[in-house]
Amino acid sequence: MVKKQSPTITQANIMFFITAVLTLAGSILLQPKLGTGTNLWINEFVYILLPPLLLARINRWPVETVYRFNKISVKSKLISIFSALAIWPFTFYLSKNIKMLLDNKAGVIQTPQPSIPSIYQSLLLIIGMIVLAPICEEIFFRGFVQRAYEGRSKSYGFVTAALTFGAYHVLNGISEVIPACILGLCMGFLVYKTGSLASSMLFHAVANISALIIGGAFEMHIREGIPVWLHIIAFAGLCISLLLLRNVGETDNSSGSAEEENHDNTFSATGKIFLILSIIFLVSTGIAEIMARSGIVQ
Amino acid sequence: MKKAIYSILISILFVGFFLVIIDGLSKAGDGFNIPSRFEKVVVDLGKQYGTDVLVFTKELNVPSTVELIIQSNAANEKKVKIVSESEILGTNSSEIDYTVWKLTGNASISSTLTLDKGRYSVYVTSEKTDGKLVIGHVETAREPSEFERLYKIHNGEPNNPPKGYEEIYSTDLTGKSCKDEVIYTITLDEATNIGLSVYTSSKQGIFSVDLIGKNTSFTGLVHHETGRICDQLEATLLPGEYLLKLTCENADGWLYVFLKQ
Repeated sequence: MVKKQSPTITQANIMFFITAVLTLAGSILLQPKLGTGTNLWINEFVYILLPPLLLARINRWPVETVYRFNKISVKSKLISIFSALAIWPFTFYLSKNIKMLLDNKAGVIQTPQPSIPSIYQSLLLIIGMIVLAPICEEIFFRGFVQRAYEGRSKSYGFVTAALTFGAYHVLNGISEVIPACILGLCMGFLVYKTGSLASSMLFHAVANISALIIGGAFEMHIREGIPVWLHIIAFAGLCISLLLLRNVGETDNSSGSAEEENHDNTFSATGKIFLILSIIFLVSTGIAEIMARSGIVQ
Repeated sequence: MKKAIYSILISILFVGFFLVIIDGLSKAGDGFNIPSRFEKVVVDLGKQYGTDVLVFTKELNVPSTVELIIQSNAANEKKVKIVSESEILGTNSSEIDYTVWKLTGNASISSTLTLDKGRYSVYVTSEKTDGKLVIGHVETAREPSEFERLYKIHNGEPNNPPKGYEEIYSTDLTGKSCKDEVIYTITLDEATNIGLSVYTSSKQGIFSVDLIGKNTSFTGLVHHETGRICDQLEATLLPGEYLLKLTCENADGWLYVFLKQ
């Protein structure tokens, strides 16, 4: 039997389910004991990065070509950076609007006064967000999941990876799902066009840096509702980002096409079962948030 | 690129281990959680014990807000006394006592005092025991106009709302006798940020104003034992009814309630 030279849809679905469950269970158990920063590092290294690297090792996949560790042109790098910078206010705007809607319709989650993290936990959180998450999550979602679904078609691959990336972010709150889907679409499109994870890693890093720096500044101005200037910046940023993404060069790296023949684009029964399990699990997480907001559960 | 990514991941892993270890060492043993912006004073109750042992003294050059957080990992009863040269706004004296039991992690006694310029000192009363008491304190200068407003309230002029607040209730407490009387109802159709300021000029008797809701309650906004000033308490309240309740016996002076919605 010939081993496939790239991930299959079944493998992607199984790994996605396991990663989502472990992230939630691990965070519930470990975050209160170890702190937010350490927990993020465990999530990124153990649950997100390790599965695709282990699979590659077991199946002897050439990591550089399968997960597309390719170099990109300076133009593609610049487009990745500036399109992330431009679209971030739009995703922030969406997230805030959804959160306000949920607060008004479903209620606010009553949480005890959060403890202030130590300086070391804060550093772990910052490094985790701007270095670890872009590398680990991109290897998992764009390198592994997108590659698995590309067996059907390239665009099917990046759209599915974006949807799973968005759905996974329900663990951070329902309001994060749609913004993460949009960011996922941009990152998937960049990988689809450039044939390299470098573009999406850069995009992801810039989006997370924006969340840390600009996010804090924006938060101070939106306590009383969304100001007019944010509506303008959000939609102007979206347009600029789309224009920039339109100009990203066609595949800098053509290595992707060579593996096309080895792709398994069949959707096995096991793959379907794990996809359904993932949907049930993530929808349940969302419902649990609504119930907590409504005061039905603590 | 593979080499670059692996190099970043491996070097970052070392940095991470280093940070996790330092974080673990800094937390080891005591279980205290005083935010970093607070200046921390640690009292070793095995060495510093007795009645009214001076812990520290601080000079305030301008009128200031003093925020205090007190924690202890010892189970015995301890008294922490704050003595100020100037008056403590909203109270009838220049001293405040706190009783401290075992409080670690997210549990603490926290208090915000508004003091005029001058010195304030902190004393501890405890028996000899294993364990520590930690007092976190941070002093922030008050805007002169804001301090002046609070000073007027402190001196018997409670009708001095902060900017943006509107009066929703006022009454003369003299001769009034009631228990949990509903004096105002806040009805919210959606989650709303509110600001509440409650001031009284009463200097005698029993009085208390509480905000009681289904999910959220604030008791003792003003209280005969803890203070006459509750200034700009801000909170996000879920939809529903919130009852502002007054308890009063042998009190005097006026009570004012202001709301920002």
